[in-house]
Amino acid sequence: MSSAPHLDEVVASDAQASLDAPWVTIVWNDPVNLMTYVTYVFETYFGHPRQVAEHLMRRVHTEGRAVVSRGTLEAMEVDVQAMHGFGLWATVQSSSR
Amino acid sequence: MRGFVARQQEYVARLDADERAVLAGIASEVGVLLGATPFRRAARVAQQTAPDPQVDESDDEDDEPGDVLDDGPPLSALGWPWQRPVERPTDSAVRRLLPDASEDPEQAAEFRRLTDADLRERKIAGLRTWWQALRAPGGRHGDAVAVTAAEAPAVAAAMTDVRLVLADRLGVRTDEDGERIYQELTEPVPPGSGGRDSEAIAVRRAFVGVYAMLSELQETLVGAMLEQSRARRTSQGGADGPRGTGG
Repeated sequence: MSSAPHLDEVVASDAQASLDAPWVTIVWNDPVNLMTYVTYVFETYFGHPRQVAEHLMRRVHTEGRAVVSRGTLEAMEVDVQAMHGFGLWATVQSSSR
Repeated sequence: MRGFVARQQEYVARLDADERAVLAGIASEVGVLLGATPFRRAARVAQQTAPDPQVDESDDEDDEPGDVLDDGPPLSALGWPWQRPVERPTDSAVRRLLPDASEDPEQAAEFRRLTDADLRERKIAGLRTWWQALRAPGGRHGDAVAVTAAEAPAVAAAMTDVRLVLADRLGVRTDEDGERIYQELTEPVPPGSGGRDSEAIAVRRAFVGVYAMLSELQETLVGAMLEQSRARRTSQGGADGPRGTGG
């Protein structure tokens, strides 16, 4: 049986997550990928709600790039590889840069 | 052509024989760029052991003299030793399909070494799935190209890969180029361009036409997929886990 975590546990695990998240995945704009497809990738791969996915998609389109995930280097490499599998251009970068 | 619409457990588009042949040929060529044996040749080899009546043998789209690796195994079958560095592709289109994963050259090289074979294999598999759908049309008029719900994500990715290669060859570099390219289809041929010039324009226009057709097919396929995935998530109370359906 499981229960919802207490608030202080959530805060603690968030703090831990940022300590463990020295890397980010960046998706770059390109002139080919359709907005619908980029939204689809962000919704289905990252599990983002529609609004978040569309916001990220527009950010890639207007600003040329957007951070789409944060975490360990290993986790970001998995995300970057998945993005390349979808045909999106992604890079991994240290979040302190 | 009519774009994809959702039907039960699949997505169906309507494409005439010429459209299917040209799209299948280009899917195979992009596979070859990634190191695959031309799909029709590979299917023929497979057919010798297991005949597949669904494969339409009526055209020769793969048997172009430009095909390389004719008799060799696909590169991915050579079993890349993981210690060996993998060269950065020299072809700009392949480099876009398998881009640098980091601005740090050392990190990019390491990533390439670990992921290159797997990415090529997945992309080739998706292109082949799309090719097979194009080669086995059905429906009352024999022009229905069907993609199952399970195949759809890989086919949508394959469409992106083909469009990326076409865009590279057509010199699409900026968002403006990407928007402008569709206008070329309706622009009048510039006056005074004859002979070789008009031939070059016609060839370019044919490729732009294929690019536009793929844009429409991908837009309708992904639109239908998104609609279904959103309906599913709503009915599940938005309980889709992250990174659940990648690939």
